[in-house]
Amino acid sequence: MKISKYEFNSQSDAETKIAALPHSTDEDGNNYPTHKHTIVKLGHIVLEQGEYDAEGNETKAPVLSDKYCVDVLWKDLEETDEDGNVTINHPYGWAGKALDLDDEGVHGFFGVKYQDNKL
Amino acid sequence: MATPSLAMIPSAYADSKVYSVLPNNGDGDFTFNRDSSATRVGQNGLIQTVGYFGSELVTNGDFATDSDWTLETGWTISGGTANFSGGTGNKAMYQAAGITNGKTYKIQYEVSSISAGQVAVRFGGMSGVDEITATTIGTYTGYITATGSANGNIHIEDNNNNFVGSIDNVSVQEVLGDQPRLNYDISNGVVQSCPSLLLEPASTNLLTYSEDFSQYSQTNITVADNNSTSPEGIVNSSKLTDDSTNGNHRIFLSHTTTAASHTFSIFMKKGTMTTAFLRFLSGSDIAGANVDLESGTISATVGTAKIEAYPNDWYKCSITGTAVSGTSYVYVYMKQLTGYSGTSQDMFVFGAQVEALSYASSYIPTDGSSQTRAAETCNDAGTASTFNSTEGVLYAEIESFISQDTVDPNRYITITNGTSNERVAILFGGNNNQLRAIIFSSSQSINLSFTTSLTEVKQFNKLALRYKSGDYAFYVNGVEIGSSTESTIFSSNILNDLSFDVGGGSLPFYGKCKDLRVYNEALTDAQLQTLTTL
Repeated sequence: MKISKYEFNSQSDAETKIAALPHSTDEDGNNYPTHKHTIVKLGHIVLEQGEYDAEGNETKAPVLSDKYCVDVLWKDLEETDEDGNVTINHPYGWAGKALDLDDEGVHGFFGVKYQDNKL
Repeated sequence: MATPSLAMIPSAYADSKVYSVLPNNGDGDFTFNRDSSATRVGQNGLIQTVGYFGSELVTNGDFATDSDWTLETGWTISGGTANFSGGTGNKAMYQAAGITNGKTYKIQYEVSSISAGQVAVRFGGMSGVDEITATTIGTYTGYITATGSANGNIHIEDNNNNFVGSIDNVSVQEVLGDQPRLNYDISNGVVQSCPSLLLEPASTNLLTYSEDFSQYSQTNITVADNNSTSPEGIVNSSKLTDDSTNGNHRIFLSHTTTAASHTFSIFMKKGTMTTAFLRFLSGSDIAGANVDLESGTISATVGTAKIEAYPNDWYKCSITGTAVSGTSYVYVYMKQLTGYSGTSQDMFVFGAQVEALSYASSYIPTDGSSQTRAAETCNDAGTASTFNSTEGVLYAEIESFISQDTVDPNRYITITNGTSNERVAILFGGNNNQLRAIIFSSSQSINLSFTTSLTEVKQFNKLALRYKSGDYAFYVNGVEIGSSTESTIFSSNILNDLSFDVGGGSLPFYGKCKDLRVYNEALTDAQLQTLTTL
């Protein structure tokens, strides 16, 4: 189990990468993932909180990231080569979008720390 | 009636396991997985966290006082750290931490200063085994499984007779891993005696503060956090008190939603104030409801609303609507949506949650960031010798979270060959209140399907599916839904796996299960009627 945080240029870029992960279609035509990863689409995260007056009206809009953010709890990424060496890598095309934060970030997986399980 | 070849009545579990009652040789046990913590309602009716790490086992790990540790020559505790200045004989400091052989622990410690040598943290009695060593400043984390030689102590040791430095924040927690949840349903505030196995999809609490309501924007209201006993049974719920202003009295918090169904849920308890209004604003009002905490009723003005009684006068209130993509807001108004002059009346709140589901799932605590509970899987019970592939009955007593799930439309429980190509299945279908049974064999060209939508699936229903050449039937709550005289049947010994999915791990079952059985003979119509009668 590994956790990684990613930043894509757009939602469609992120959706393309997510759709490329293993999936299948059931007899009713529904697409479903066949992988065991937990993918959380955070979207354009808030960089600065908005401000509101006493009536709840927004007086200053929150500042959102122009990047589309995704957190993933990866499952079973380990690969073993012919010499028995185990490696864990980002799936194809994800590594270039990965972030390396010094803290837990704006989102976490309940009870599992990013810093302890960072990919 | 025949004895089941496999029976799972939720009663016992371990890390990554749900135990079956039958067979009792372990073949019938399920493999369970969830890669995060989660909460459940325990036998005492209180909300409890389950997994992923156990409680802290080290006392005085921050060295706030010179106590609790046995210090060998050269070690001192002062200035909030444990210190060593070089010596001989690999001297250590240690304490009894209740380490148990066979269990795995997460160990973490911080080296706050080091000018020479190496320090190691290990379990007592396991010298040289799985030590977590450090030669530079930093925080170090490792996992150690205690062996038969472990003596129950945590040791911090000068590893090369030349360590000069200080350490801090020593932590040892048992790795509880994937602990399944036996959840006790609450009916009208009363905890039910028999638990059900709770299996939920992944969900994220989008609210960054679920318990710290002082972080919410406040209008004509004061918030006192950690004021009274919450549904967790500890003093961490917040008291809201209105002021004398003639206007709205409310708290609210922003969060980011996507264009999908979202549910706002919160635990509420009456004080001197007994009514409230819940509001979910996402572009426009997508959900709202008047709440009466005296009578335990909720009335939606927009969207849908639900209220569930919990012990000690708490209610879990939820409202659901379709959000837009962008910044959204949830509000708790004291008394009513419209303004009034307050008179220092109060009420209590706890556990606010917004999630992209059309129902409120189990509580996910947050404190400064949104948090995700990972999805659960439960599968791989039985072997080919457990099941009779040529005749039998699959029986389950199950409840859905929702009448119609458009996100996970088909939620299966199956006997399979490890894939979906050969399966005896009962499932929640994609249509409203749909219960289905499917017999499918790719190798034998069987494709039978029975469907009903005549009962509410958000309550426990009893389903039984009989498979036998010339004698297939599906019963729900004592009523035959459908039957077939199809003469083809599975190949002998092909069925070898009972899982909460379609076979092979996909399309997992999400819901509650009180009872799951497989019979290795085709029970009669009368027996199926008796078995499934509520």
